[in-house]
Amino acid sequence: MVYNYESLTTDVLVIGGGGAGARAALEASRWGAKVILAGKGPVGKSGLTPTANGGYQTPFMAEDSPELYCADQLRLGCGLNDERLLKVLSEESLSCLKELEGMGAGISWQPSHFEPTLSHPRSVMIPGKVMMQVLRKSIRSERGITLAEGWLVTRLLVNEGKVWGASVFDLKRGQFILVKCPAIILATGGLGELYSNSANSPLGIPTGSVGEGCWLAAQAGCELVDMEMIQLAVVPVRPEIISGLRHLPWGPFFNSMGQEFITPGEGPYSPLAARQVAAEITEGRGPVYIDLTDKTYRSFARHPAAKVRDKTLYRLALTPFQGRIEVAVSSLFSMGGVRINEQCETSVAGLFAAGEVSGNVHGARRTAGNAFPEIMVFGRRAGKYAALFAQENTPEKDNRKASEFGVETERIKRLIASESEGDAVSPVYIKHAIQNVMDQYVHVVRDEGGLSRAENILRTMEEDFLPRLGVTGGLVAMNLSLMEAIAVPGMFKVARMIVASARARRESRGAHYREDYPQEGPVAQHTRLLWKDECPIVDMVPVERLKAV
Amino acid sequence: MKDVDNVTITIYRYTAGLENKPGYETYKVPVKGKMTILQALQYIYEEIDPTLGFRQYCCGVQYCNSCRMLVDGHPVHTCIKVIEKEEYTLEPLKGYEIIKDLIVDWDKKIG
Ligand SMILES: Cc1cc2nc3c(=O)[nH]c(=O)nc-3n(C[C@H](O)[C@H](O)[C@H](O)COP(=O)(O)OP(=O)(O)OC[C@H]3O[C@@H](n4cnc5c(N)ncnc54)[C@H](O)[C@@H]3O)c2cc1C
Ligand code: FES
Repeated sequence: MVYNYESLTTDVLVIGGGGAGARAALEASRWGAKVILAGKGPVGKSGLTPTANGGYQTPFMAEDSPELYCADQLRLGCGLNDERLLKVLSEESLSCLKELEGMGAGISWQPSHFEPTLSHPRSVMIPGKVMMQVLRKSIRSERGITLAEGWLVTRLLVNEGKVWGASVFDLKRGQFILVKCPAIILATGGLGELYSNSANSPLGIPTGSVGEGCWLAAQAGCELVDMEMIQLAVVPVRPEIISGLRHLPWGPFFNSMGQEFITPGEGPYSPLAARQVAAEITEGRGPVYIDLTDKTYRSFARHPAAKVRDKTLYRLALTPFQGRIEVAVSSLFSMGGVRINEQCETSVAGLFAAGEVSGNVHGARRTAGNAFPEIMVFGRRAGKYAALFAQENTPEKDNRKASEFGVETERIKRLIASESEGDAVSPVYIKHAIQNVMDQYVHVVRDEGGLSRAENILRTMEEDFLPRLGVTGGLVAMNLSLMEAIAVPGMFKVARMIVASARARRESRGAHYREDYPQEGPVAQHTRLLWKDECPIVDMVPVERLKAV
Repeated sequence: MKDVDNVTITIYRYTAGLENKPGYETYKVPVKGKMTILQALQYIYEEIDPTLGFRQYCCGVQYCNSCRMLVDGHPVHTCIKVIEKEEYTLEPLKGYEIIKDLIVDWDKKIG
């Protein structure tokens, strides 16, 4: 079999075609950089951004202020948000939103109150699909951006603590590409699909949110923080056709005995509500239902995200207003990830990160409607600072350092050569096995016993399964099984990173609840993770406070 | 609307770059409650045939067009198309080069 490979050079490579990546590419190009915007799915039409409802928090009302916004986020984030990042977010979210409006996005400016405990309602509405439509249009009119759809980035290439390129597998052509560039922006989104029940897989169809960016970064020697902080929230699960539907109003919850049980005042994103729902189910009082049958369909149908799918649901008498809906707890958002500063720099020179893959913006709890401003504000910043970095640092000219690329292509060639025969295991099987471990031991309630079990099982499975990982179909265009097989080793690593961080945080804070350490510790500290000698190494480091400036 | 227990789905198969002739393959999928065509494709990929090509990425809200294909000859968003009968035929959208099975290359219009 002949394996083609081509080599390309650019100033900035953006990995990820969701909101953060699209915004970053646009900005980098505006700052004069030659940009490749690469995504394993169609750019601007994949990832989580188009699936999202559209809440966008910005403190724009007269009685509100950036300071009040920061205080709210810090309180709900349990003090774990880096304050300089929050400050940037509070000050720039409005201008980013106005830019989107300028590009033609329709915004509904009436602020809603998705989080009952925020001091002010400040979520305006810009549906994810609208955001992506206008960004995609702007990108298309930008000469400096090459859209690279179907490019799966499999490894970052680093030399002496500095990125110099990335290895790419072109899913459409079944071909390897070596991209040489002085600056890379990671905008690969979330990792919710490490759990079987995930709002990251609407209708149970994967969006590919398996945390590849965290693994790419860790493998490149980059620092990650608070990987244990995963938002697990109450989400409809049955009927299956509405699983993952997120735009429900909050209503009364009942267990199988008809008892209402959620603490009043908690909203849809509350970790306490999630634990209460999970407890009803694990303690045998499930299934749990949300009862919205006294609310009217019309108010619900006005929700932009409801317009399409729910017409179908209404016809099937399956909207939450026509009958009770079974709910459970499912993964929604990853607060942890790659550590960034205000310029979106990471601890590896030339590597920038923005969006859900980044780690220290939301602390121990992301509030509803606060990811959209994040992807716009930090996407824009990452684009600017990566472009400036590229101006000062030219792309690598010689091929001498290409050995890492060679290692990576060999790894994938071996996968392709493996046929799923005999004792081979399929990537789908392995993915489900990892999800089972995460569901069982690394969910809303954790303890040392469960976490150390998870670690052991993950390591044993990794040793057992990875050598037998088998791909069906070989080197052909858009081989889904191959794409999943390429991602599976990284899923193991990311799961292990989450477990190691959860073990290191011996306290309960926000989304991370430890039954053996139920109290919040006296000082908020990040779990900081580095990947060394095939293992996650975690220590505790201080959270950045503004006063210390 | 009728509930069905099983659905038989006939799918157009073709892989660009391989010397194979386009053809059709038929799969039987159990239907649990209400199910979309896209969910049935995911079932086939996971449980029956991992070589099936379709675009998985799912916005679920008729935006990304990933899931658009011909269902019994008509272009449909399969993420919101609920299975209501016992047989369907799925083919890739017309007017684009086919990459694999139900996946077309949106960058390459033909005809
Ligand atoms: C159901 C749901 C509703 C939500 N509602 C809201 C809301 O109302 N308001 C709000 O603020 N937030 C909301 N969120 C959260 C928000 O949608 C996400 O956090 C945000 O869209 C993430 O954007 P992103 O650009 O970081 O990543 P994504 O949009 O997920 O994009 C990631 C991109 O990276 C690509 N990619 C990944 N790995 C690779 C790789 N190795 N190589 C190449 N490409 C790769 C993917 O294909 C994709 O294009 C919601 C989330 C969900 C799941
Ligand atoms: S999955 Fe996006 S339109 Fe159907």
